[in-house]
Amino acid sequence: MDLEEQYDKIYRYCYFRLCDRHLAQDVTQEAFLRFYRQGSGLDNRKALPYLYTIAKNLCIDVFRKQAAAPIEEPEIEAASDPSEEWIDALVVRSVVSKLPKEEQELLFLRYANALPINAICKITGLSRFAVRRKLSKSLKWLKEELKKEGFSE
Amino acid sequence: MNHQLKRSIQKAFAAPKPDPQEKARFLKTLPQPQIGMFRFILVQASYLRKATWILSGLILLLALFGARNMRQDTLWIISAFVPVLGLLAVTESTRSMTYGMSEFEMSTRFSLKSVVLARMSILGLIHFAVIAALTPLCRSGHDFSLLRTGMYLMVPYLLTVNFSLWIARRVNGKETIYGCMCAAVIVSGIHTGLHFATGLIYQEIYTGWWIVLSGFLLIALAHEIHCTMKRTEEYTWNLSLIG
Repeated sequence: MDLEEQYDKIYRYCYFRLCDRHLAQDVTQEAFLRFYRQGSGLDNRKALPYLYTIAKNLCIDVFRKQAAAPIEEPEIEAASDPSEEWIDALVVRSVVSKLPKEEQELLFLRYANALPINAICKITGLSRFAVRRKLSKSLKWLKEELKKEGFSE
Repeated sequence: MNHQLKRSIQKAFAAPKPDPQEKARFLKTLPQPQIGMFRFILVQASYLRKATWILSGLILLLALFGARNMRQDTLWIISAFVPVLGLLAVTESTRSMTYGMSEFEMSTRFSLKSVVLARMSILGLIHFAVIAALTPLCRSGHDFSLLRTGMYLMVPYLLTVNFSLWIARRVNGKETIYGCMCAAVIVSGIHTGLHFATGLIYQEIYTGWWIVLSGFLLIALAHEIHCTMKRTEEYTWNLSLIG
């Protein structure tokens, strides 16, 4: 597995949970250091959920410490030429944000970070059946909501 | 789910890019964990081409079929196919040299020497297991002992591997594959040509000669492996030229 690619994915995951660029980068680095300190390596695909779990726990710790601080709105990088796709992404984000955080996380892990279902089960502690059911339910709901927003399929 | 929605979900979760300098600095200083021998061998085994596994399995299947239907002829037919295993072993072990990737592999996490040695060991073990499985199958229709049958199968394999390694050390690039194929075809051809004489060459009185030949080929193989390993070290001077 490509270390740089995994770094970006973990960073994106931390950003998804913390909505803070600098904190996300710090937590990503701490997660990698702890992961390697345990003797795990990215050669082993099975170890990947463990890396996500470390990142998740670190994010929870940071979140608890910063509970009093105001939460930033996640930003989408502004494109120099805002295409239809970029506008669609904004619409999708606003709709996705209406979902419960747990379902957002499932969508994120499956479609933004392209993790296999097995890995998602280990990270979230849910069964395969529950992950599949929740994902299909969220997607169905998402499609219906997007239709209302005039999103073209 | 349509492709556009999938892409939009991806974009919806896009994060601002991390500080590239900080990221590069961190990744450069990130200590790589030590990897155990068993894990290292498993990782290397995953890089072996599927064709290697499939062909080894096919030869085993052919022997099963032969033992059932051809009985006495199984031994010489399988002996004629065994050089293909030798060809696979050498072309697979020297793949990085054949495709001119050896210098690139030397700059990676594991040294080229350990990678080549690991792949040779894996292939050697697989082929030893295949030949061990072939031996009782090839005995059908003969009254040879297991040791004798094993030797009749090992000799063409060792001959091919020795010739191929010798060629791989002297020929560069893709010609290595053609050279190794020639070696395999010659050894296989000799075996096919000699099948009329199997009654003679497989006689018990020649067992001593077969043992001597097997021993000689094993020593030659050890020498060839040693020379191939030394060859992987010869590339280091090129790296020393890079500042």
